[in-house]
Amino acid sequence: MRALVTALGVIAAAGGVASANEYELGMGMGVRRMGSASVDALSADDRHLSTAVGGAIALPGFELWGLGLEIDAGYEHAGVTGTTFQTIESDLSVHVIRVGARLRYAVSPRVSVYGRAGLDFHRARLELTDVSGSAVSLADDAHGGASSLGVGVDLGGRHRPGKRVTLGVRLSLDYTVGTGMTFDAQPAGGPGGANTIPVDAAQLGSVDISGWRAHIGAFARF
Amino acid sequence: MRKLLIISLFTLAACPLESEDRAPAWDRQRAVIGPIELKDRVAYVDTARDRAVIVDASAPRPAVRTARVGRNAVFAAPTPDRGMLAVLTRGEEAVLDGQIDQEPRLYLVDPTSTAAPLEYEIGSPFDRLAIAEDGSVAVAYFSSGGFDADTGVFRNPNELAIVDLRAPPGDDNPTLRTVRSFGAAPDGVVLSPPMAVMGAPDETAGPRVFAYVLAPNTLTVLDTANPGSREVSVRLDTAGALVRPREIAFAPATGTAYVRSDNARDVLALLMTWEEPTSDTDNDFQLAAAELGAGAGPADVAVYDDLSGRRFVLAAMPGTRQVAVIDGDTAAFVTVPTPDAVDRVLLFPSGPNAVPRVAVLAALGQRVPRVHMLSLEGIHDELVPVDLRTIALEEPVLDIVAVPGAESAMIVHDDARTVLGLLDVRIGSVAPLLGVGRLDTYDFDDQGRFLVGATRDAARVGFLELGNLHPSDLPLDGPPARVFALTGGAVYVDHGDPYGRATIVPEPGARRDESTVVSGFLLAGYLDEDF
Repeated sequence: MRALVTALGVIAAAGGVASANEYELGMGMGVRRMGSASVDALSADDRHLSTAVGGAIALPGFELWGLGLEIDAGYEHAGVTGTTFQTIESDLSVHVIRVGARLRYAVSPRVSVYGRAGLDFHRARLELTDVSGSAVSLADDAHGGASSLGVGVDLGGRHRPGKRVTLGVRLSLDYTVGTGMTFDAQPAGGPGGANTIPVDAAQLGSVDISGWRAHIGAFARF
Repeated sequence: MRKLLIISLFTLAACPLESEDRAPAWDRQRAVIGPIELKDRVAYVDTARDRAVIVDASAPRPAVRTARVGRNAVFAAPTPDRGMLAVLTRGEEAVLDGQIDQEPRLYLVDPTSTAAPLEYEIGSPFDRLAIAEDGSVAVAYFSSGGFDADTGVFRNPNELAIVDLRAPPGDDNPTLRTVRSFGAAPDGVVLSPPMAVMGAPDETAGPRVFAYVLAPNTLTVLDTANPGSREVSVRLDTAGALVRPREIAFAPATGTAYVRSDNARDVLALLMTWEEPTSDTDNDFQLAAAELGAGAGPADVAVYDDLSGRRFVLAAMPGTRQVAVIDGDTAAFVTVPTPDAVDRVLLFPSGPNAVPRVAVLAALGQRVPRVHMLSLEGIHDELVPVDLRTIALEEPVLDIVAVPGAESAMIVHDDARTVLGLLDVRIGSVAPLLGVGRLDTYDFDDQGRFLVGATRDAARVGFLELGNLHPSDLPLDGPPARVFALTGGAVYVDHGDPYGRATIVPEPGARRDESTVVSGFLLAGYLDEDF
């Protein structure tokens, strides 16, 4: 939730310095494929649904060889669940703040394509639970960063004089390269008070969420 | 053209998102073997991740290290000195993607070293292991329930693998043998300490480890130093009744093994004497069997040497309410009538170099509220009267356990193990102890200074100083499953958590803030696992 508020704050701040009809708000969903081996420990399927909201602002003063520049920011949530060794249930919840820049080229009045480069900031929580209930559940938080490169195509949404708001559909594909997020085997209940026996948690290892991400969404420009 | 562009983009987007199957190993069934007490460490084996996990409790901050073992671990045990961990694995056949072809193996893990474990290919998917007292030899064998249909079509229950642990693995190490059978499968294997062969002319026929294979009606002896030589079978059923060998006590200096069997009237003494081998597969010893006249079915035996080095065998015969003290050299014996049907014999003081002076006798089957102390000094001297004292107790005796390194024994008085007593053998006194709950797990430290115990229902571990019987305890943050008093003084409380959870108390009497909970150590490196 904090990440969502932050994302919206970024958009709002950007809107404050831009001219009219060049704002964008969007939402959508997609599929992430975390191709690294670390995800195998959590789930049999390395594709996972994600949902996202975000916004962007075009910089009208910038135009180079017919390309427009946009700055975007957004929030995304992806979840990974699965069962390993028939007993260990995993739940990885990843919150991502994304900022980036897009270079856009209008192919036609209704279709434009863009290339995007961005930086992601991840915060994730991993929970491991025993199916039989005979283990103390483990949970830990970790964070990391990533950079991404991608391409996309927008259908519609191009600003037309006299229309305050235009709608469009976006398809995008990008590849993220991230730093691993390292988790410890902390008891899920937390330390449990000042008088508990000090806990020395083993290191579970790191989850690398690098991989492809495809997204489909709708956006509004005004 | 635009439609084509859009379709192309969709296709491009879908291609890299195709999921790749993870290795089948991630879906294996997971079981944890252990905890297994080593000297100042505790070991576990994770059967799904193919690794031994060792928690080092000797350092101020507990350390966890892992060692790779083979696929499908089925059995793990410490060496008798608790210095190494032996792990038997059944291996794997590559049927599905991600599986590998791997032979059954024995791994020897040094818990103090980061070096890879020694591994021996043992040829068959055995599920039990016996290790010699000196750690020189191990024998892998099948238990009665050890046949796994996934490991083959046939199983030969009389097959053994003899592993020379002091030699590197090779074509001739281990040696696979099938012992002679008279229709029965082995119940177990007992390895002797290095035993002398009486009359051996030189060092080449010096002390060595013999394997005693216990089977219904049959006892088979193998020379592990010459694993290719013929085995010697001893039939035990000549009287007709089914005889099951249960217990063997060794006198290594005299090359003698004393065998106690169910349904046998006497203790069987097997003496090894040297004889010239006549072929490569012939043995350089022969077995001489003698029935030591216990006169009734012995329920428990104990062996000791007196001050002059003479070997005696104590046999408790509940059927005749007697204890026989048998001279191991001459087979002469003295029988001592006992008021109860004694079925447990403990010797004090105990230890490798101790000369026992007293035998504590208990009738556990009868559940009577008394134990007896038999003085062993001069027991074979006709001029010395038998000194048998009865110690009356408040409650019946259900179990009695010697305290290591001390002349005392813990007596258990009830099924719930809440009422205990500590017998001081030097004085003959019994101090009662009351527990708050069932004593589910307990251990004594090596020096016999304290008893540590716990009940699974209460999140605390209790300590009892055996010198002054002062009790103390430490509240835990979770219920205990097993406790260990480790070498070095630390107390290890395992919480029975499949992810690994243990409380390490640096010494009895330490405070909670001086202790440490080690969390999730069985999943250490879990996310970095690469099958």
